[in-house]
Amino acid sequence: MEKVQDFDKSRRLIIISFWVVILIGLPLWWKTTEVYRAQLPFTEIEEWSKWEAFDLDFPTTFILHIADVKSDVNDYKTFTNMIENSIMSKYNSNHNDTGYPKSIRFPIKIEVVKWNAWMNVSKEGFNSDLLTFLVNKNGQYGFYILPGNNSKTRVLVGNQRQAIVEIGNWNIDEIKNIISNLILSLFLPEQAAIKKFIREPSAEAKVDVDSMRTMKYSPMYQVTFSLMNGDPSTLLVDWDIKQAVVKYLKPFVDKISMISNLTVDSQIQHYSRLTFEPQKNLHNDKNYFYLTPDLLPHFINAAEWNLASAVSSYPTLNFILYVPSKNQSPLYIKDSKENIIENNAFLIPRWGGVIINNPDQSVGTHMFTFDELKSVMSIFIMQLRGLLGVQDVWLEARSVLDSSINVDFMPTPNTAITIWELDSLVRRRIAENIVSTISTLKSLSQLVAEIPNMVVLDHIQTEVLLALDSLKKSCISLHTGQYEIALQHAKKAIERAESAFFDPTMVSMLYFPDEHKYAIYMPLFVPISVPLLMALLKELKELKELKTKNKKKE
Amino acid sequence: MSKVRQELKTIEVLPNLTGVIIFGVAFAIRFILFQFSNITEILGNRVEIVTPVTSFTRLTEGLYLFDNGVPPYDGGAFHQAPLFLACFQLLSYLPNILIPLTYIIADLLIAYLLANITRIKQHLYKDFPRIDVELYEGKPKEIDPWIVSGLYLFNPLTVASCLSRSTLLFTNLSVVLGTYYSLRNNKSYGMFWIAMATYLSFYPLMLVIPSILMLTNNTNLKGKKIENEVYSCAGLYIGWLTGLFILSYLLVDSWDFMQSTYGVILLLPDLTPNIGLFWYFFIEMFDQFRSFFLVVFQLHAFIFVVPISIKFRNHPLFVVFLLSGIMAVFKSYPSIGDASLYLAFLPIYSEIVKYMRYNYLTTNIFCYCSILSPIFYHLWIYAGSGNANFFYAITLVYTVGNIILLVDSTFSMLRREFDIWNPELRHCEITQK
Amino acid sequence: MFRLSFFIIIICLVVCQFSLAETDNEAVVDGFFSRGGHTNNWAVLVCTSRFWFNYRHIANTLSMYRTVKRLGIPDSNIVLMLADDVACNPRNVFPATVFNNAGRYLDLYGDNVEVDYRGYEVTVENFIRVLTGRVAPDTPRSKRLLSDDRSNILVYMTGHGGNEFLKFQDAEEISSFDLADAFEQMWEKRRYHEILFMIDTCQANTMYSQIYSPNILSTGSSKLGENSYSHHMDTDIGVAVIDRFTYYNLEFLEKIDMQSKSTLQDLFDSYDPSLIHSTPGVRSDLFRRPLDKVLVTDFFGSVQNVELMGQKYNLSNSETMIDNTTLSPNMSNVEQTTVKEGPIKFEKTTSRNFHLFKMNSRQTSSSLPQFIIASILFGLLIRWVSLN
Repeated sequence: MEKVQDFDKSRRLIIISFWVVILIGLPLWWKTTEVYRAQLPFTEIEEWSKWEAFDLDFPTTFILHIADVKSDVNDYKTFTNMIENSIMSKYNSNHNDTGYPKSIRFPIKIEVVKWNAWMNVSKEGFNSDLLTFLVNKNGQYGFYILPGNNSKTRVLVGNQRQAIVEIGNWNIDEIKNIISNLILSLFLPEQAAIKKFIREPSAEAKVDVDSMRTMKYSPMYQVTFSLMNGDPSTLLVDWDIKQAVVKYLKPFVDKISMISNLTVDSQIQHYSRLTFEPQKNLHNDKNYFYLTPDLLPHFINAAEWNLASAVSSYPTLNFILYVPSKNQSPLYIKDSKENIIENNAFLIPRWGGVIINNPDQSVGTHMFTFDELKSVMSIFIMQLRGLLGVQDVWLEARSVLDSSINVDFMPTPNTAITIWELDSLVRRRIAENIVSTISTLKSLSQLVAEIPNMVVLDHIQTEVLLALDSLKKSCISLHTGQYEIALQHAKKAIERAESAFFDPTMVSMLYFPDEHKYAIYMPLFVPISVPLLMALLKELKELKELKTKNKKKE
Repeated sequence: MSKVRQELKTIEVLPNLTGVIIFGVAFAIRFILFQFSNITEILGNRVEIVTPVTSFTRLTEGLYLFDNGVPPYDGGAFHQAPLFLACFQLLSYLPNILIPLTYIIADLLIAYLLANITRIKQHLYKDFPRIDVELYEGKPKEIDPWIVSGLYLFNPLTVASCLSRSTLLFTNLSVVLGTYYSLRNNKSYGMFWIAMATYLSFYPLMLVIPSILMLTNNTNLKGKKIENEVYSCAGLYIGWLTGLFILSYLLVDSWDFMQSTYGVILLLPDLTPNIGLFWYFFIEMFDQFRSFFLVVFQLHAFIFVVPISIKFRNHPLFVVFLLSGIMAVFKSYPSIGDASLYLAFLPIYSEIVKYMRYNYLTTNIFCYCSILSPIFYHLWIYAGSGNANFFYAITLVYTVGNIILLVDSTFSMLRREFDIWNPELRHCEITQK
Repeated sequence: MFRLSFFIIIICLVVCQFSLAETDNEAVVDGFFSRGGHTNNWAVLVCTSRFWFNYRHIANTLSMYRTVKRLGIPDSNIVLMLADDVACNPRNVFPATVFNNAGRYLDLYGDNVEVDYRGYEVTVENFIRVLTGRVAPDTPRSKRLLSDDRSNILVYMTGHGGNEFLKFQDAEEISSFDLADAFEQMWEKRRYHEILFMIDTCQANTMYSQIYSPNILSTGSSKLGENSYSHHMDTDIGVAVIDRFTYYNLEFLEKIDMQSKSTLQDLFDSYDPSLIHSTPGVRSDLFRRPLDKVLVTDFFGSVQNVELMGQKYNLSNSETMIDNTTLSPNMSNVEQTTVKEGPIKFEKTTSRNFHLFKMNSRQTSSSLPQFIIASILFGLLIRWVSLN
């Protein structure tokens, strides 16, 4: 039998037991719905993006071996300072643009060494072993200066970061002018390119041939050589591409593997038609077909030619050797001035290149032999160099220097890239990678700060810290002029920053506005809580009444 | 205590004619139906009858791996207790007919025990006051215990569950055994079987409290002695459970059976549709809220234990009934076998049936759901012209039916109690304060 | 005397302008460069609804797919997401075909269709992963959007939508905020140069109202509170086969070929609300360029820039380090350039093909201001002479 008080007591106990479970549940609620966010080093990233945490230095050292002429009355003591000053003033003259951070520097060091053996070189007439044995590292260049016979200046560029300069008018001012002009013409364009990376990317929107042509940095590129045959029913083609690649391209690939790896494959495709009819030339007695530059953008028949790689996600560079069909042969390309281009090729920026070859159609089959492919490969290699951003520093320098300076070149080894070009490319890629790492980390930190619900796991934090670490190491190596090590660190930095930014785990809460939280909790908990709350409130009211009643009794 | 035991012993009598007929017919039906292997196949694959934690197919899979030396839980399909592996491996050495016979005998045993439980309950409550209408010639009209067995044996849910060879039958058997022994005041056996039920399927954990109530109610101890009793029961329970765990560890040589059995029951990695509430919810759930809602749902199943036990501390068997009902509705992988268990306890309290208001509704709900749920499942999975909402809607209706039944029986019980203890208020209007 | 000296000064100034103009003669690159500054094109085409009665949404998307392929975007640059397969639906009377016209002139699901995300793979999460680039590491290349800072992307979405949301697959939805955030993430990572966002759903214009990243041009089929309607039904297929907004877009686009010079302003001018039965909208406040200078093929086609280089890299035959034969590679390059491109005037072509022009590779400033100054001075001089 239950008395009224027992009844009340048991009711109270029941309500308490419900609420105890709910109270146990509350901390569990907090624990199970928190978003795991590892702490990212926001301040450090902020410092880097404001260029306060580092200065980028690209130091270069020039060792001038000046001939020790007996009749020399020149005084070389202050020569070093004079030449340094004249060069540095030109380097920094472009710093008036606003927005250029002050912490990119191109310090320059000049060493003057007296050179005694110059007589031998002069006697042998500029073919010397001198130019073959000295191997400096990236950033150190040597100039051998000796007096010449006539008033013209001759420069012989070597393969190992040296050059011999023969100066006609042998006085200190002449030497200073010529050497400083030479150095400036070699290195100023590179500096301008590096500084361009620092500018805001939105300014890149205008049409700029170099940046539009050069591929963005990627640790690996896939290079595909395709032989396209327009009509195999009249002509079968084949090519000895493997040997050609091994002979001509492999040295280049090996050299450039320091910066990016290239994987090379090849294919032959038949029945590769064009999407349009080329125009026919009916003048003269020569019958040929030609393509004008405004038709060239539609040359690649993307719908039917199978050019995509299904395997890797790295950028691809496609090089196409096109053999037109018999009723479109011979096919030439004309430039905008209606002249036929000699090498019948064109480059598609950030995509690859095309060569049109017109073999003899009467034979029935045509095998592109190893020797024939030499000229083909030479064009492809030129296009590949352009796409990878290799710039010919001496060529550009030569176009800037005035005509009184005559530049010759030593024969280079067959690697399709000289050391001067490789050095320049390494430096530019270092700058590009450092800047993109910083911008990636900045975007990441902005994103994480803006979206409070985004999950940030531990490995993302690790990647970010490692990226910052690599950045630091890269800048330190740059200070001491160790460009190769700086490049490796810069490559690692951009790799880690990209993998942190593009981590697949960060998507989960991206599309979850706060209102949805209400929609999740309310349907379940509001109906459940109504009877519990009502019971609790009633009990409390009763308790209060009981207390007042007891008080009244007393 | 021994006097009570003595009394209780005399109650168990040999079956009379009704009993023999009922048991015989039930045995025959099951035996004959077991011979039709496609019936057992079909029933063994229906999602309403078997679940990933009770399926016989998965048991054979685990058994095969176990026989061949591969850890049985590595396959990811087998989520049942290692003790089954031992028992069924033993059975596999014996003739094939023994497996169906095991199930049939288990079913019959449950029925027999239900009859005994009814008798014990009638004996325990024979001195309690009654309502006039329940008296017939001065003696209370009690339900024939064999009718209770019969209602269990001929319940289509039970038959289907038995034919499907769902291993839930053994959990039900353990629960009924535990209840039986607790009612008979046998501490060690009672706690053992409840521990076994917990070991086989996690949720009978909540039946510890009514068992302890049963074990302490029947004695006339007070105060400190009751506390000691409670502690000794709890200690026995924990001891038996630990023993079972160690036995399992020795059977499969590692502890990952915990992850594969209780981990699956608690954390729901397997979202196969069933007649419960969990699977649909967790398919749709956003990942970051999943653990929160798992906690909520599991807590929800256990939140009713203490209040119900407090309210019905004088009727622990009724607590067992209600908690079985709550288990059948709110556990993570329910099936109709759970429903058959709690429906088995309902006729024991036949005197509350006259107070129940929604009999017609719940009967109809059970019928409709039995018909519609296979249809909607077929529409969803095989015909492709429905979607999961169809099936889940019927599941929800079924759940509502069960809850109406439970709430109704609670109401009837309370009303009857009120009527008994407050006869003077019989013609007054009752409102809650 | 005074006048004469003044006259001479003016002449000298004018001559100086000309000479200065002449010195702007770096190496000139011949070729064809698009005005917009992009080098490649991508298209993300999404159909978000499933079930047979949404046949027209699949047809919309496949029509757009066909258009961009026809205008030159290769399959490797198209991410096509179709939420259901109506071509092989058992209710399709013409199996393995999808038509967008009751006359059934053109089978859109013909020979060369590459669907990247199909069926249940089309989810909000996958869509956002594609846009932001946060795909799982084992995702194949065809399912990735590998755009860079010089990519123009066409994003076309169709399905059922409402006020600031778009329904995916009957189970979830993407809101305009999520879309705007995804575009912002793309901008942060410089994954696009310009985006054209085209959406054909009910109340489509609300979907682009929250975008805040630069260089995005958006167009939608109907404004807030308006529905977008289907165009016509095919009685044999039994469902509507195309939506009005897409239908009128296609009417315009079918007249375009790869060399067309039509601009987006022409496309938008061709929208007629009385025919479309809803008010299409255009949002261009975030877009840098004026719409009458933007070609349709800047987004729907793929115009590749072309550079004609007359150079060759001279390769030697021998294996040894030093080639004792004549000229070094740099030498021949230099020779070739001096032969081919002597002192060159900066020319502005006046042909009708206004995209074709020569560019200075080094100098970015033109000598246009100098000409203007010279002509002004000359004009003043004439006036002064005539006054006197």
